[in-house]
Amino acid sequence: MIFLLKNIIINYFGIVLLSVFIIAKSNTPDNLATDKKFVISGYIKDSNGEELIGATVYIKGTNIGTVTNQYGFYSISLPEGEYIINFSFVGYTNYETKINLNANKKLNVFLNENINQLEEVEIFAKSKKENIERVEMSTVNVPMKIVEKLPSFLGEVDILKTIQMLPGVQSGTEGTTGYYVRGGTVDQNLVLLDGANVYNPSHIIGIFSIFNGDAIKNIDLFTGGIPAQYGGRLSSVLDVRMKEGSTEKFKGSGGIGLISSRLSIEGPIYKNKSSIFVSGRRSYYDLFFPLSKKQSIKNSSLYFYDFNAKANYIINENNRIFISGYFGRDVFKFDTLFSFNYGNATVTGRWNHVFNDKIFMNLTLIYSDYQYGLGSPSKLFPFEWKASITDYSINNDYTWYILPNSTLSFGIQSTFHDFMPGKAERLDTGLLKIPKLPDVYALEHGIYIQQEQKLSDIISIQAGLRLSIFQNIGKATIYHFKDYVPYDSSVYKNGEIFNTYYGFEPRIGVRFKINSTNSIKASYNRIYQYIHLASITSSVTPVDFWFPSNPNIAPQIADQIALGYFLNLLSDKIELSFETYYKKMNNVVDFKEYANIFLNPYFDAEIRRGRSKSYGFEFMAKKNSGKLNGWISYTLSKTTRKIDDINSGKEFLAPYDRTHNLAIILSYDINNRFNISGNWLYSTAIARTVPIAKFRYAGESPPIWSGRNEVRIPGTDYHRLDLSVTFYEKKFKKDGSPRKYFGNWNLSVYNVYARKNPFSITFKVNETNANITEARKIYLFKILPSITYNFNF
Amino acid sequence: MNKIIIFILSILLVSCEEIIYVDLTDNPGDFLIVEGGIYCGSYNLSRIQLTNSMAYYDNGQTPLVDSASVSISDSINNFSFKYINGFYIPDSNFIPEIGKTYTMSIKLKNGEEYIAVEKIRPLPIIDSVRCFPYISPYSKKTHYYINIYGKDIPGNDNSYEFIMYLNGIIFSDTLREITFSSGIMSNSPIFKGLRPVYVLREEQLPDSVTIVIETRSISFQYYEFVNELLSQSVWRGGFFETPPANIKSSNITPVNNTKKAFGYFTASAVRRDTVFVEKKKLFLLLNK
Repeated sequence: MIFLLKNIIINYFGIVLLSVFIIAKSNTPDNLATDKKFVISGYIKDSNGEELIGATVYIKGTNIGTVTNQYGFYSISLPEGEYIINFSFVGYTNYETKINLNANKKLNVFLNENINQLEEVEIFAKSKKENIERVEMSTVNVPMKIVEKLPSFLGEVDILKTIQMLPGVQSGTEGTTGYYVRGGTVDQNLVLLDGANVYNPSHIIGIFSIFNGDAIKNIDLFTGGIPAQYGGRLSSVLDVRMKEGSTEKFKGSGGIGLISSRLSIEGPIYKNKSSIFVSGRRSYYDLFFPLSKKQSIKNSSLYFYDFNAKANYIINENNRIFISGYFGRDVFKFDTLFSFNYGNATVTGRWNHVFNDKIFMNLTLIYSDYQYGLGSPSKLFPFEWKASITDYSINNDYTWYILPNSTLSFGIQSTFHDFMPGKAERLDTGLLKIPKLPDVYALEHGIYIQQEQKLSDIISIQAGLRLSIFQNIGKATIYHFKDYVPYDSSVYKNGEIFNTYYGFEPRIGVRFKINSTNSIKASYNRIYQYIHLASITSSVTPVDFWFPSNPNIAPQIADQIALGYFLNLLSDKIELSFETYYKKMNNVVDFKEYANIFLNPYFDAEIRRGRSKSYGFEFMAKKNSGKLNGWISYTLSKTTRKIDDINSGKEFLAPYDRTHNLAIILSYDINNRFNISGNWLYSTAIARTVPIAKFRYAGESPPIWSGRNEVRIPGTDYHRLDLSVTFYEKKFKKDGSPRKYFGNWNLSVYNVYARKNPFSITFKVNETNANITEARKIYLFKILPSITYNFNF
Repeated sequence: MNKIIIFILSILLVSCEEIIYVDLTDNPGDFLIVEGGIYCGSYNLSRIQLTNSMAYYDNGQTPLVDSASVSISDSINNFSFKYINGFYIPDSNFIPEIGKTYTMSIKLKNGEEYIAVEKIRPLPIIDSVRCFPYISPYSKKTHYYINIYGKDIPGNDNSYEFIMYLNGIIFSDTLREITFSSGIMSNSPIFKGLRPVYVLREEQLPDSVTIVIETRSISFQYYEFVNELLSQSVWRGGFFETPPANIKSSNITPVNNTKKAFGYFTASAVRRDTVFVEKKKLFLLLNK
């Protein structure tokens, strides 16, 4: 089996490599092919020494250009000669330089931020033609600059809430950060923080995200046409990169809000060689608990904190190392009744190396840990239940800038997963130890290759292939089930590989450029997912359960095709995109009705599998520059699921299916000191299961339910308006020199017209009279103002 | 659980719960509901009530089904039930026995037929009942715990129902107030031995009181049915609410038609243990 697999890998990749070279060779323009070529390469940074991701390098007078990678690195091969090279990045002043290329050259460029030219600043496109030129579709670079201006929620600017306003992305219930991409579930979103997998990117049951805006440098969201470099989750990739810190000078920033505050400090360790960035955040609402008259509140806690740190060291032109980490926790205790806590921790160590100016290598070691648990500190029956996932990964990725028209990426990634499916303990007595379920181990590998090739001015392609491999390893006991009843079991030794799944995942994207303002793009991708999440509850909770594939649980597989038309208007000031997609997912998982998942050795028998499909149309219009900027996004979609034993095996609407989704986001700079921003969101009500009748039994009145998610209750559609005003303190002294300290005040109002959007609708008996049945709605927030002071020094 | 979510949300300032009207069908659904069962022991508890489903917003009287013919069979003899004051009561010749399996059949006037099969399981021996005070650290109020100790009968299918009477008045008369215990749970490392708990507030326990604990043997399926029923009624709402799903563990099976019925036909052995508590003194009563 393994031998066969190895052969498949070698053969397949041999073919792909060969074809890539053929493409590369056959498309080499004649003048480039005959002349002697040299490489110009380097890093593009801002004035603080922070690398710029996606900055444009353009050879004037030609159509040759490239963009910097995730580490700010670029490389272009050109024939010997004199060139004018233009370096640009949104929000920064362009830089042009003339070079005489007669040998391989290193050129590191520092771009200065555009401070006083708001009118010209493009807020959220890395280059004017990005929408038309790039091959990728269904991809958004989330604009930190506009995110910071948008109305905040209790003083916290939230990246995940901004993501929910993009086409193809739907939100869960009111106020939460869980998001659903093109009909995919929450667990089908890959969330990477400096390359480390984050299993739960939320704080306080999802009301805030773990991403502290001050610590984040760049965010890319892929909802389709997902590059081969990424794998393991069916529906989306959110690639978040932390700030590296200034290599020039020490400085800081922070914010003081109503329920939380944050502080970041950065600076050089050795000037121009090495820098450090440290950021922390904590909520402090619970500091007021002791003032409460209620004993139960006095005895309660509810807070979260997180901590980001990153350091990097430039060894020399060709070698650089980074180390970054995140640590966050949520702690919640309601008197002696109930408690839960959860949190993520990640550590990333990375070495960048440049081989002969053309090949960029990246070796990454990653540790990621997610712990979750709940308990009851009560005296009657104190217990604690805990579960965790720990990942250890090694990734080796290469980018080879073969020609200006041709870039090859390839790499290999391996992860060791250690799942602790749950242990419980009675806290009062040592006598009654509850046996813990044994840890579950697995290996997950990805090998990928991807070629981006400009075939002509009209056609560009991105063709990739990923081979994903998943292996269960001992020590393990696997139960065998017939009709979900265990009849036998197999025991595997420590380290024994007893089950292997693998899948070939083609990723293809094509762009046809009609002219400089119109293009058509198409993409197809297949993705396998081997780690799953299922929930026994209707809402997203910290105790949603992560579990790996095994002989009883096959991997989830998604195929997605997308087609789009892209148009720029008013000399690229307005970008329009129209996309349609169709996505089919197999082996999606859910728990059976009335599942028992806690400490159940026959856990696998509680899981049901099925199919899901989603299709939709998405529209986005963005205005990138000028005093007024923002975007309008609209999604029309439908997502259904069909899972054994749920809804009697009949197809039903996904619990997050919303037919229409509209978001309007506008930001207006009155002058250099004032900005007003607002957003209005609308989405169709989710479909719910409602009573069609009820009966009475022994003093209780349970409902008889309709089919699952059959009814959209009128009046439960979602809409909300948020507004904010930001006032900036002066950045410059009267003599024109920059101030060391400047801040801004942000006044936000969430849910301006106090719409009672439902968080949940529950059909239940009256609390005092069980003969009376009623429908109850919980809504979280009516109008919710907040004020935050943000500062920089 | 509802308290927890309200707590989290109220901390975040402004969450609220309100009753809303949802436009639902006012068709009662015409489903048959079976409640009750047969009991061995000398307490004359055997009886069955048949009702119809109701529209969700109908809070009136439960519609009784009075024209059905109900009978029970132990596979040798067949006994018929008589309709008296809203209940179907078995013939006085009918004496249920532990270990036997019974099939109840219901024929409705409209021709629909349903059956239910249940076995009467043995009762465990209860060796002690304990009543002791406990001061809640939360409310600082005194509560009284009434615990029962005994040895569970081996096997996975034995579950129990414990009903309590205080001075002859039933204390637990709705499903949510009754204590249930499944054999699986009581033999697990979490619960060693039978230990159902009744917790009484101080004012609920008179100074002198005769406590009767009625123990009923039930099937694990009925235990699951009760859990499902409570999870679809009183336990609904809150953070850990499960998706709505119709109760599956009913043992009422339609014959020759596909219309579902709800409810449960139980079959139990019953015993009552009586203890007397004076002046709320801590006591431990050994039965034998």
